[in-house]
Amino acid sequence: MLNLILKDILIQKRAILIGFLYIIFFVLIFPEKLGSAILAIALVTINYILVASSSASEDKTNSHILLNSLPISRRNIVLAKYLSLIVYSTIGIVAYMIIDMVAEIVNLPIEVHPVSLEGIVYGLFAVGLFNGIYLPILFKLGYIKSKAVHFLLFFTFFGSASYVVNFFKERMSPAAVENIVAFFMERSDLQIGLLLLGITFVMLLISYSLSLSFYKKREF
Amino acid sequence: MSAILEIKNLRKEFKGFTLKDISFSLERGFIMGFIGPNGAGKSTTIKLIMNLLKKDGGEIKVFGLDNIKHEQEIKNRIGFVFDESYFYEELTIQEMKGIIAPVYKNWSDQAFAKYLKEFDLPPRKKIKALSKGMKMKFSLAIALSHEAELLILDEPTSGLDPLIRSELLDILSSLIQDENKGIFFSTHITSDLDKIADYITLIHNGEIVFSSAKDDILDNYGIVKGDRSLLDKEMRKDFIGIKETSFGFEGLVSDKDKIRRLYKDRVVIEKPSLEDVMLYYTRRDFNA
Repeated sequence: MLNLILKDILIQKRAILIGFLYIIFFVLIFPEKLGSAILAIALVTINYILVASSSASEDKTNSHILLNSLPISRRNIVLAKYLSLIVYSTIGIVAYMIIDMVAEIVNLPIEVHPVSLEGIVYGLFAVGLFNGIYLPILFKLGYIKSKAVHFLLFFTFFGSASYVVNFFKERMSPAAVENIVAFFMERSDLQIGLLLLGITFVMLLISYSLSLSFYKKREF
Repeated sequence: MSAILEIKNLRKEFKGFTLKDISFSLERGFIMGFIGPNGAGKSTTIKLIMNLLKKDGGEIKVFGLDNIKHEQEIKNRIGFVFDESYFYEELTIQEMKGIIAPVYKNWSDQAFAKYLKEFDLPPRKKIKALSKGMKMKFSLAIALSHEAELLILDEPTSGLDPLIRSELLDILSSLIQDENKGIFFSTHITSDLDKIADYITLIHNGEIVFSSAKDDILDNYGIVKGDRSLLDKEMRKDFIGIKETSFGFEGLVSDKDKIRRLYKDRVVIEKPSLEDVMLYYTRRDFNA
């Protein structure tokens, strides 16, 4: 299992560097008012880049034939892809913290929103939601055929967030909105964080089961 | 002795091609050549054995075990070399080994280091910088470093120069001295098998034409040459394929002794090569 994740890191040293540069770019161009959302955006982006680059390299070399000829179960191949998300997110968080630190040390005239636990939770939720939708498609179709979906999903992901919120705001009664707001107000940050992490976990579990059932039927 | 590889009524349907309920088996201690023209079903059969394709019917047993139920155990004991390299091109030999080694129960770093040296493979070289022959040798080094009992080779020699091909054949013949192992070797370059194969299985259009001991084939089959005036309906029945020219005919028979008894010195009978046998069976314009 660990060697499969290690493989994902090894085959994309360059992509990790690109991901790092993207995070710098985000931190520099996005205004401070985005707050903790900026970390979520950065994490979804780095996961997007790294999932795309590892899958592209796998399709290019047809390495599914290699992996499936080795004594590795398809279950572990799928699971490794999901566990890689944690590794990629950790790389993203560390990169963000380094940038934050460097900005402070060299006294850059920009305000970098510091990494907070809240930001990490939102980030992991966004990464889980995005990849929870995409990975089953990847395992069903392979990267080349699902590349366009991945790209579209990425660009609609942020655009649609505010749309979804407005959609519900317009259609829900003010009382219902108030109830939801009240629900969150009554909960502590810790409770909300745990709830979000719980939802992320369940989402990924469902997504993993779907991916596995697709991948078990794939032919190479 | 039990079969190391046993295929019974194996079926796989694609659009435009069907592997038609094929059966054959390979005993321990032997090399089987799996021959046939391109598109005959060789790679499909191998992919079915490796569970890269899902079969539509039949049975595949490796080491006496069902290839799906005991997939992991079987793959731990199989070494494979495919016609193309499926390694991550960006990685070095050493890095790729680092990923593959932990998945095998019986991996030996000493054996791997020994083969790298023997095959002249530089561990720090990236896979994309290796020649086709070196990539094949790297696959072979991996296949030989985890005590594989069954080697499955899918067109390992295609596109390689004669020197590397002959090196590979030498390695395989020394390997099979251990009578507990088996080698299943698909190729359309039949001259590779003339020296080393014990059994030959010929596949054509998704069907097994024959699966027999190589010596039986080479001893019993014959290339018969003679004058066209001899070639009547009765005689044609004995031929697998015939090539006719204005001077005479040349054809393949499976029982050369019968032809010798019938036609004595009116015909010339020669020993066929495996290539002759394959061509006469598979070329449509050679139909008797």
